[in-house]
Amino acid sequence: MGESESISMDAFRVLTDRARLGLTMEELESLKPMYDHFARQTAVLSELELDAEDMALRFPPDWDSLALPHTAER
Amino acid sequence: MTQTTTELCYLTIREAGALLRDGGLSPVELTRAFLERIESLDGTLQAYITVLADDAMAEARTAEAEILRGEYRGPMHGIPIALKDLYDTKGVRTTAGSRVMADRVPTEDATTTALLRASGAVLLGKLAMHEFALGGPDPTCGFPLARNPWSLEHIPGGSSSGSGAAVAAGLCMGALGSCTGGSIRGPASHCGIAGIKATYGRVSRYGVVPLSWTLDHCGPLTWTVEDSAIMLQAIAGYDPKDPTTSHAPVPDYLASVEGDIRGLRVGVPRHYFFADDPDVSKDTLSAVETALGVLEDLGAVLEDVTVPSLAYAGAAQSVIMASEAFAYHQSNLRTRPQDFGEMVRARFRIGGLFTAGEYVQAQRARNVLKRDFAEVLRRVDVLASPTMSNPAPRFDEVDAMSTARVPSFTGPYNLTGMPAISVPCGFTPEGLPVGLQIAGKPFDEPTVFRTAYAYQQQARWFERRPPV
Repeated sequence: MGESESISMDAFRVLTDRARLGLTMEELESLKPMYDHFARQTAVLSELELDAEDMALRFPPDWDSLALPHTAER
Repeated sequence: MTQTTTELCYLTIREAGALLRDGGLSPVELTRAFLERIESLDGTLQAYITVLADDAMAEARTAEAEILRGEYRGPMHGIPIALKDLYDTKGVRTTAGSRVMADRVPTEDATTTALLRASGAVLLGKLAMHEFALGGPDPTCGFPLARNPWSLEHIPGGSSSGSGAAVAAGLCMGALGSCTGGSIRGPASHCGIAGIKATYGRVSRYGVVPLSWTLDHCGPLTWTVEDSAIMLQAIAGYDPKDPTTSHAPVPDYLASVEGDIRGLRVGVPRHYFFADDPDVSKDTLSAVETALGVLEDLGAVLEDVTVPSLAYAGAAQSVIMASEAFAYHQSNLRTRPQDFGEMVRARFRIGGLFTAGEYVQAQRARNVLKRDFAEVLRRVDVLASPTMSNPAPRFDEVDAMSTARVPSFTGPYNLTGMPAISVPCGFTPEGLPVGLQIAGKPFDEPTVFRTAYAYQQQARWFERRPPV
C-alpha cells in the first residue's frame, strides 16, 4: 500500500465486522487512520521472499506437561 | 525526609546487601527509610499503585531475625523492591494498570514473585504501568500516570513506567518490569538507570499478565548494572509452569560483571540505529557516539555491521504484538470496551484486523531476522546502539501513535529473543537521560553485563541523581 493509498471506509467496516468489534461510525472514523498507518507499515511483509523451510510456528510434539498415565498403569 | 533516609535509599543493592549481611544495616531500618521516602515523594511521582507498608515491615522484621540467626539467604535478603503491577501477588490486587482488572486479586504468586520472596527480598508494593503494558501514558486508563524524576513534565518511559520512576527516584532498590518491545530498556533509558531483558526463555512469565506470548520478557530495572545482575540471578531459570523457559544452566551473573573488555568485538549496526533520520534525536546519537568511544578506549574493537532484515522488524513486531494481544483481550474488547483506556482500546482493536496470513508471515520474517543476527554474531560479541531514538517526550507530546511513529531500537531484540541491557550514557542539554543499549548472543548475559559494567565504571553516570 503506497503512502497515499488506503482502503475505503466500507472495506474497513468489513474488517472490523469480521473481528466482531461492533464499532459505531464515529469509532470507525477514529480508528481508521491508525489502521492505515499500520497497513502501510506492514505491507512490506507480503513482499518478502521466504523459503519453504522458513517455517513460522512449530507444534511441540511432547505431551509431558499433560501428565497422561501410561496405559499399563491404569 | 532526613539526610539518613536519602542516604539509605541511594545505596545500591550490592552496597546494601553487604551491610545487611554483615549486620551494619537492619532490613527494618532500610525498609522504613523507603516507606518514608515513598510517603514523601510518591504523591508527586505516582510510581506506586499499591504500597504494602505493613506487609513490607513484617517481611523486613522476618529478614532481620533470619540474618541475626545466621540464616542469610544471599544478596537480595532484606532488599526493598517493587513489582510492576502485572506480576501476580497472592492476596494483593494486581491490575495491569487497567480498569478491566481493577478488582483482580490473584490467589497465587507469579513464579518471579515467589522467587524474589524466597531470596528474602522485601516487597514494598506494586508499580504503575501503561495499561496492559502497551502504548503510552493514557489519562483515560483510570490509574495515575507515573512521572519522570528527572523532569516531572516528561514521561518516565513505558510500559514499565512506575518501575523506571521508582528506581530512579530511590523509591525502591530494584523493580521488575516486563518487556514486549522495549518496556524495560525504554524506562531504564528515559530514567537514567540500568534495565535488562534477558534471553527469551531465561525468566519465567508464569503469573505475569501477558501482552504478546512470543515477545514478552521479564526482567529487572536497577540503579546499576551489577544490581541488575544480582536481581536477575534471583529470578532466572527453568520453570515447569512456563513451558517456554529454558533448561540452560544459569551462570553467576554478578561474577560476570568483573573483568576488562580488551579485544571484545562490538558490532554497530549504523545503517539502522544511526541513520540520518529526522525522527531520531541528534542529542541521543551524539551521546551514544561518545559512549562508543569510551568502549573503544577500554580496548573494545568496534565494527560496523549490517542486518538487512532490520528493515522489516518494525512491521513484524506490530503484527505479532497486536495480533497476540487481541487474541488475549478480544472477549473484553467486545463486552466491556469502555473499561479500556482510549489508547490501548484502539491499539488492541487494530490487532483484530490483521489476517492470519499476515501474522504467520510476520513470524516467518522473524526467523530471517534471527538468521541475519546470527550471521553478525559469528563475527562480533555484542551489538551497541542507542536504546531509544529520542529522550523522554513531554506528556503533552504523547498520543496512541507516538511509539508507532518513531523507529523502535529495542523491538528487534524482542523479536530475536537476544539479551539486551540499557545503561545510562549521558544527558541531553535539557537534562534528560540517554541510554546505551548493548545486546548479546542468546544466553550470553554474562558478556552483556561485563560490557555494560565496564562502560558504567568508566563513564560513571550513576553518580548523578535526579533532582527530587
